[in-house]
Amino acid sequence: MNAYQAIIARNWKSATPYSALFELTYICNHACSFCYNCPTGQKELNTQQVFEALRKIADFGVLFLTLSGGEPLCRKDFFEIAREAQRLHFAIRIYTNAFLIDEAMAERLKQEVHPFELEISLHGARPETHEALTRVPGSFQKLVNAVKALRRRDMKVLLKTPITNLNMGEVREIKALAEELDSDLHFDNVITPKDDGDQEPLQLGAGEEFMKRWWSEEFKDVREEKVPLRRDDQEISAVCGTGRSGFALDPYGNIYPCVQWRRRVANILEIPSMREVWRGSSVLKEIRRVAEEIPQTTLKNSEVGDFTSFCAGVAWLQTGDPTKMYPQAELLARYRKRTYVELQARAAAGEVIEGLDQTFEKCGE
Amino acid sequence: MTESSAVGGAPRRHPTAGFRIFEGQATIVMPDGSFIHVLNEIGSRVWDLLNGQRTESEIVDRICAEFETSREVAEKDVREFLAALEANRMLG
Ligand SMILES: C[S@@+](CC[C@H](N)C(=O)[O-])C[C@H]1O[C@@H](n2cnc3c(N)ncnc32)[C@H](O)[C@@H]1O
Ligand code: SF4
Repeated sequence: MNAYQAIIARNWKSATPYSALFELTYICNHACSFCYNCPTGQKELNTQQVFEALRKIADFGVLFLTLSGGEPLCRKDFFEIAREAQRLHFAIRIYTNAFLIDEAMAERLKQEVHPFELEISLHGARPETHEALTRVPGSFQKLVNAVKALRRRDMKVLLKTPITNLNMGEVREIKALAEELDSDLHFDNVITPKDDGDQEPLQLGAGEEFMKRWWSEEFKDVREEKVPLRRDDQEISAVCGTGRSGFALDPYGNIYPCVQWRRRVANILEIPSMREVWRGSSVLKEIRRVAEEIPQTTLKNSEVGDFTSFCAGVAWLQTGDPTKMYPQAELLARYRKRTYVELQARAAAGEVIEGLDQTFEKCGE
Repeated sequence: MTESSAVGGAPRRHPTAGFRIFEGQATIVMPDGSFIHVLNEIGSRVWDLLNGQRTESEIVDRICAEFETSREVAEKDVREFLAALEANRMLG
């Protein structure tokens, strides 16, 4: 364990957060059919209120700040906010659809914001596929141009692709495109319900047949996880970092344990400091207890528990119970395990297969 | 060595680095994202003091006042530390 990992482990144990995700607005220039956001129509925080929130988060010792949305770059005061975040010494990451990033905007981001990473959502390798989801003509080409503008300036880009039944047929081409654009790529297996519990986005999921193939040797070259990995609850016993390593804020200032688990903790404008609410909140105490309980109950009792990447927030949205195994997690774990067992047998027969002893990173690590 | 880190000047930590000091340890993320540095207690304190307004000598004064160390040792430590930061392009 290096010094940085030691700090992370210590922070998890003491539930001292080091990251925050701030949804600056729910306004967006795309209309993605699966988007989990659920604007309530309330007034979003104004510039000064965002500054106040940022100061409270910085005072609390949080280092990593993710600016998300909606589309964060749609805020007219985005650069003012990002400069304030810079002044407060956050390490800044931006989640964006990149639609507004042209050469001039890329230059401003480089000169004024210095994000250490931009995570950009790519939904296909071709305009038809990407735009079938974003429902904005021209959004694919704009994204490609934006990534090129950022990479020309040596800015780090991570392309993120949630696998859907629209793009599952072109995962290899997506990987090739990411390589061509000199960017990292992350495929996401999980489509979540909307924040209000609407399950409709799940219809877009890639389905069992694809997941079976995804976790098989067929897609080994495309997956980040070359060999399916197991979970490890030894070093850190909680199922994930919810209520420990970080938290999320919506555009109205509401604080949640994480972006998936929208159990309101407080409103950041109504509290004197994050420290007080973090220690005193009964919601957070319960969240932490549940996160500790899941590996000991739900996962221990499941045949595929060792291979399950479990999100209590998604479980809550899908089943109404944050501890209950939900179909997606079970399905992915089943095929992860199946391939793992096959590889283990081949290793037992003498084949050299690297990585079988490794474990996957927990959400929030 | 750049002017900012020259001995006798007022060295400044890289203005775009993200950092927090927690329980005496600084965690620093450089804007290229590839460097996450964790510093020991004295290094963290020096990093904190590198605001471009204190000379190296003033920083040494502070280290001597706050930690049990002789001026000679503190001078050497601060000088070496600044050189290491410079080598890693962490000053600006
Ligand atoms: C809500 S968006 C906000 C940032 C920005 N507008 C973007 O699209 O990247 C954050 C991420 O959530 C993903 N996302 C949205 N709805 C989702 C869903 N129902 N399931 C899985 N991922 C989803 C998006 O693809 C994007 O990567
Ligand atoms: S671009 Fe992001 S915020 Fe906008 S609709 Fe798509 S997923 Fe939602």
